[in-house]
Amino acid sequence: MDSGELANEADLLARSRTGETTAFDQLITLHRDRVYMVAYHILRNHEEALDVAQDTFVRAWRSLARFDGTSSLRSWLTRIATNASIDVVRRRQSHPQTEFDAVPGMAIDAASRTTPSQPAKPSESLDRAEIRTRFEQALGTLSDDHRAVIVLKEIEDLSYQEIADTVGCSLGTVMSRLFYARKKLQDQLRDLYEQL
Amino acid sequence: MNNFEERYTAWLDGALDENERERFEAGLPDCEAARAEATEWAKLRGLLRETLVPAPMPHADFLNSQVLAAIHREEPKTESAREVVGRGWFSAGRLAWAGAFLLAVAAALSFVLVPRNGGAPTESQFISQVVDARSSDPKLGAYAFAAPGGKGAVLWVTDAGYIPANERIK
Repeated sequence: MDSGELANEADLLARSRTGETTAFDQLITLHRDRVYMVAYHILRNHEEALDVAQDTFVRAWRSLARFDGTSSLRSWLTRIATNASIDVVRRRQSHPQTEFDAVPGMAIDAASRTTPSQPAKPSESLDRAEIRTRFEQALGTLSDDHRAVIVLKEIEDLSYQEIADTVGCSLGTVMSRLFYARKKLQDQLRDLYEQL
Repeated sequence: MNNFEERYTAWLDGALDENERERFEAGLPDCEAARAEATEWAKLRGLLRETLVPAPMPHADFLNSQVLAAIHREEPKTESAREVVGRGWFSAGRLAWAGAFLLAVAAALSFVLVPRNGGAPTESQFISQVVDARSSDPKLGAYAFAAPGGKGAVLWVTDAGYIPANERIK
């Protein structure tokens, strides 16, 4: 996000705080894809991820007055989305009825504006959809706790401390979960990255 | 960092300082194998980040409308809370007092305005029955009121859109 976009976001945030829902609508549009992705990767269920995304923005609206701006809006929303997803995971554990999406519910659009426009990489010789499916399947084999830390570290790029604050555990636990989750992913996807 | 897993994670992420890194690597049974594994993880991480970038979510505008609808649903709750606060003035006690006051006013008005001592004309059943019996139109109604003191009578005719020329009330 460049300085112009940040200024625009700050303006939208200020207007949202005064109760202007049209400004908040634009903030939703700016952040909805990422919020949805975080929820989807943790939950692996399209419907639940949509519910969590909706819940995230409603919670954010209610708490706008308490958002002090010490963290970015993005990481604040990520934290809310992760907590909401973890709540769903806990409810699932007490009422195990959820069916996971066998195939990811969305395909990446190579031409989408969020896809990095970079020169072709060796990995692009592999079928993108296949790689994505393999990643989704491998993430699905992780426990909910391990998947949450992998998503927050490797996709959301949060620090250990931010992850610990978000999922509510110690720094050491975060690092330990990352160790085992990474090992498991490496074991399952070895054939994939050995082609690189 | 208390155990191997934590130190290894920090080493893999480059979060150890120079001294910590040297000490950690010196303690590894096979440093070359660990470095090869770190290189492999770097490849996998790159692929992961490259592949799992946020894609436009499905039904994105639907999400916006759902969120805004939920927000608007909450707004009336806030207003109704204000209404409850506003309604606080009309407490049960005050309503009871207001009701008693209105009843007292109504009683006073009826005392002043309604004439007593036979002031109101009373309906004469006899005259009404005579008019009904004499009229040929069954829809025609007639009421007769006797004036106070028997000095006269008022005849009240209903449903008479017109009185035909041949209609006679005797």
